[in-house]
Amino acid sequence: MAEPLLTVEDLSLSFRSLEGAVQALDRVSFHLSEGEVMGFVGESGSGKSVTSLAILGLLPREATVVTGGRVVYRGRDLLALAPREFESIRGKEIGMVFQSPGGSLNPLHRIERHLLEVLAIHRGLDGSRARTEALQLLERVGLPPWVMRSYPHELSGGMQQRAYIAIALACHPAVLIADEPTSALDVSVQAQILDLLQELHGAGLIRSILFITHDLGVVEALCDRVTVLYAGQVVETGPVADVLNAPRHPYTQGLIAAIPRMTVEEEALGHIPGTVPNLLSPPPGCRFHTRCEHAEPICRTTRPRPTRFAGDHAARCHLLEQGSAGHGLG
Amino acid sequence: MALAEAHQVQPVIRMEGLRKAFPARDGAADLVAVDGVSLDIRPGETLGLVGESGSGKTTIARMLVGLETPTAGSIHFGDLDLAKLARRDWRDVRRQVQMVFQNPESSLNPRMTIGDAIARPLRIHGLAKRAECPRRVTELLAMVGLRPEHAARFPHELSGGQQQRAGIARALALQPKLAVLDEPTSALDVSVQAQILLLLRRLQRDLDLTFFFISHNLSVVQFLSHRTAVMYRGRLMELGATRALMHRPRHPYTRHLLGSVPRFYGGLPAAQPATAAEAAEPAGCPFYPRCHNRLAQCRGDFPELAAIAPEQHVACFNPLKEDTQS
Repeated sequence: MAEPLLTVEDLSLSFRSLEGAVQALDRVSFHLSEGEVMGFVGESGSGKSVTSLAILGLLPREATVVTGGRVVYRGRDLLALAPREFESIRGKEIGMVFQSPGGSLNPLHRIERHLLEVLAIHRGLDGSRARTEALQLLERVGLPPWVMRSYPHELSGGMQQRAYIAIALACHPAVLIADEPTSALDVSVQAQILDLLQELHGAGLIRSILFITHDLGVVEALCDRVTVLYAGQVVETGPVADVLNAPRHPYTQGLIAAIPRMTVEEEALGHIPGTVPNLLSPPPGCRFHTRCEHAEPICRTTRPRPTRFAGDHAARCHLLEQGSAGHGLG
Repeated sequence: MALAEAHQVQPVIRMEGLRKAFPARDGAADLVAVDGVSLDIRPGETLGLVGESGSGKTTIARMLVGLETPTAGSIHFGDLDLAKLARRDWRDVRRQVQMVFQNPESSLNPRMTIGDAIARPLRIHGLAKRAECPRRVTELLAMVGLRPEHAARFPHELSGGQQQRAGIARALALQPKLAVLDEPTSALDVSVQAQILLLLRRLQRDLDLTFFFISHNLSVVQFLSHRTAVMYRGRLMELGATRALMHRPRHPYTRHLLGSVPRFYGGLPAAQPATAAEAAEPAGCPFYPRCHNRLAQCRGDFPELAAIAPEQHVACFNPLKEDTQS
């Protein structure tokens, strides 16, 4: 296995709110290796976007309380960096693409200006060299040269997302954090953007991707490994094929069973009862126990340790720790 | 219910040549959101309508419930033509044609309790006396899996899934002949989406309801719909029994759409990349510029929807063969 490029270790974090502390992350740990595409999956409130914003140093400082853990990128703890120091990492070393490309581009600036600005700040390019580079970037993401002169609103959602990817590529980031980059797009446009990301990754232009999504179908199409979050806790992690075909955690199992699929006979659709807990007062122990049909007393008091399976596949569930086969988890 | 016998029966809704054009500013050509759509909704079925953004699916839903007036064509509902219905006559139709919206939070009045929101249509249409309302509300809440105490709550006190259950209870309170469901699960998490899909299917079976189910998500439509209609840029491209259509699409556009669905959901292998674009004429097939199967005539003409197999219809001069699906 390649050396981890980015490691998140036991990250716990809460937000101040009028009603109290929202305990958004509870000892979240995972690592992203060089060259890897990792899916980071969860439903609303699972903490997947919060984690990505923490890595990027984009959480509101006055409202965020990091209660423990580290985010280590190439040996440096990003949480210990001063805001100015972060500027040499964010965008340059760790790039980002967000869900709504229209909302992340400045509506008053042409695409040209977005690209030239990044090339000037992070790569010190200007004049004709910067223009040539900008046009090459657009070509790399499948956009025609006239897009340079376009304002964001003149482009379709798919073209905006391509333009945004071109801007992210401009700095040759070692890690790209992509937060639901295809969720606002139509399915055929989504397929094109996934193809583009795959192609750019294959060509070495994007080396490692942390792909944040609620959509396991997209994870299956794009990612090598997947980490599943529930209510601020990592419940399972492993190679995509292993996790999707043989999920070990009851939450992952329930989530997969709840997805309608055209290949499955129509009667078969599972569901997870109840709703995600309020993180102002998250359930103690395993946060999934309030919705888990297998829950036992220990699940309500103690957070499970990871149980490891072959191939870097691990899940945090007491029933797995006991190695109990009688619970239908296996 | 058995679909074979269903089409002998009078449809609940019959749309014929339905068209909606929105006037454009600055003298540009009108935006034709829905263009010549003819479609029956049969009693007791779920008819799914899929399409990408701008396909016109939501405009059709809005015309069915009177939120938009068609530019041309007709919507037969019993003896009435909803396309030409006077405002005052809509009231009785609204009782019979109800809608569930995508975003439950914004489609419930934030200042009205859930109980009041459900009781209000009952009162307006004279279906329950004031004294009977609490009991009816409790029954309706139970029907959608909510507890009696939810009646006293305000929408913001419920989760998204609970809000959508309340929206369904409100729509079904009037025992409508048709419920139009416009992306009812698109704003919900997967685990909650499954709860709502299972609820809708159970309600339809238990109460013999007729659903017009609109979604961009093909695997969700597949789960709930007996028949599925596929729209693209205002045109109805293909219509058929759901499983046949999803596994053996005959329209090149349907095939393209299914090729874009991730394999995990049962999408087909991706079709070949589109050929060089050459624009269709206004009367031509909207998929012409991207179609591999196109003929010269597709550029300027759009064919009628025609039967190609039992329970499968396509609007295509050169449909895919049954055995060449890759």
